[in-house]
Amino acid sequence: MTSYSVFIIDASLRQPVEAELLDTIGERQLLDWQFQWRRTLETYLRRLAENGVTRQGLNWPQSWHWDWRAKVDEVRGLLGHTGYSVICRDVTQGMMRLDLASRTARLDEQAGKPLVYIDYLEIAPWNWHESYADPPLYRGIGQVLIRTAIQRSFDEGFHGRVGLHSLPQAVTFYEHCGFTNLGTNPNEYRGLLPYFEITTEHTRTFL
Amino acid sequence: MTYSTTADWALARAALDETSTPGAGPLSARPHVPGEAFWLRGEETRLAFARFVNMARRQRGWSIEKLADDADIEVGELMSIEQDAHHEPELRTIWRLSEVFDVSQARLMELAGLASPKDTQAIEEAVRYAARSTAITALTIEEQAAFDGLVSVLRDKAK
Repeated sequence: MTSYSVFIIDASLRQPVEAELLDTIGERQLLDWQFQWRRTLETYLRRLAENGVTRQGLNWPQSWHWDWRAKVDEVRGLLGHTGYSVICRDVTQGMMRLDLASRTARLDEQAGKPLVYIDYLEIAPWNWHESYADPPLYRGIGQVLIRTAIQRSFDEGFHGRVGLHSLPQAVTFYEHCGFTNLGTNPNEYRGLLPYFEITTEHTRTFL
Repeated sequence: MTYSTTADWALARAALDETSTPGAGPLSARPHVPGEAFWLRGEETRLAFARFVNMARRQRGWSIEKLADDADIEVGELMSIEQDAHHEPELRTIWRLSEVFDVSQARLMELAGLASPKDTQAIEEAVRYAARSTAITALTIEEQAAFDGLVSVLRDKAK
């Protein structure tokens, strides 16, 4: 396991704080997810319910809370997959899992070429920008993770090419990062998650 | 390029994170309220409350006056409940109606917007039932005659 020094932003002080980038999603991260991320999430869910929002109104899979760990476990250690996590003040602030082997690019100018596919990227609920969430504690975790995926793509010889399926509410994030939106496909994730890809040229803004 | 970053890089990139939260892949799904449409508003549930009182009364073949007498509620209060979604009913009225119609006082308070719903699904269902009931109820002969009269007045006004 390797640790790198990175910086994220303390949102209330608007100052950079040092954080740690680990080249793994370890047991420690899963425990943080299970006991800290979920606790904040449950606070938000109670808040939504008090305002009359049901789970059906949330556009959110109900099975999610019990099958998450099993899904992460099932791909841990698979050849061709790797994970990264960002830790700050001893708590996991964001995680990402990469598929390095099975996907190819779709954008015309790089179609068919190998890329790094982000099959999972999430940040801790206390860092969310959502109408029902408290003001975020940290910003810039997503920037660190996307930059990491791009760097890994260069290391793999994929020239920075990265692809992912975005959550519907994260679309502007990836657009701001220079990704191209290729839209949804009814055969992928029930047509809910649009596909995004970044070209070598657009990765330069991350360097 | 290495995996490490600097404080300056973090500051320069932070602006891009101002308004939206990253998330990729179905594992990262988080609650998403697509606009205000999914927030059940007080008026919506209160309309369902009004519909309930109206139908429960008519099912028994009672006039507003008769219900007001039986439940010991002011006629004006009952008329406001049935006809004005902005009218906030008295707590005592809810209690009396729950007794007369034999339903849960707590649930009726939630529907009337006097308590936040414990079971939002039940309240949403009640709203759906109420909406369905208004959509399929045919007009009675008397209502039809009144409606025809109303339409003729409105048509005259349009000229």
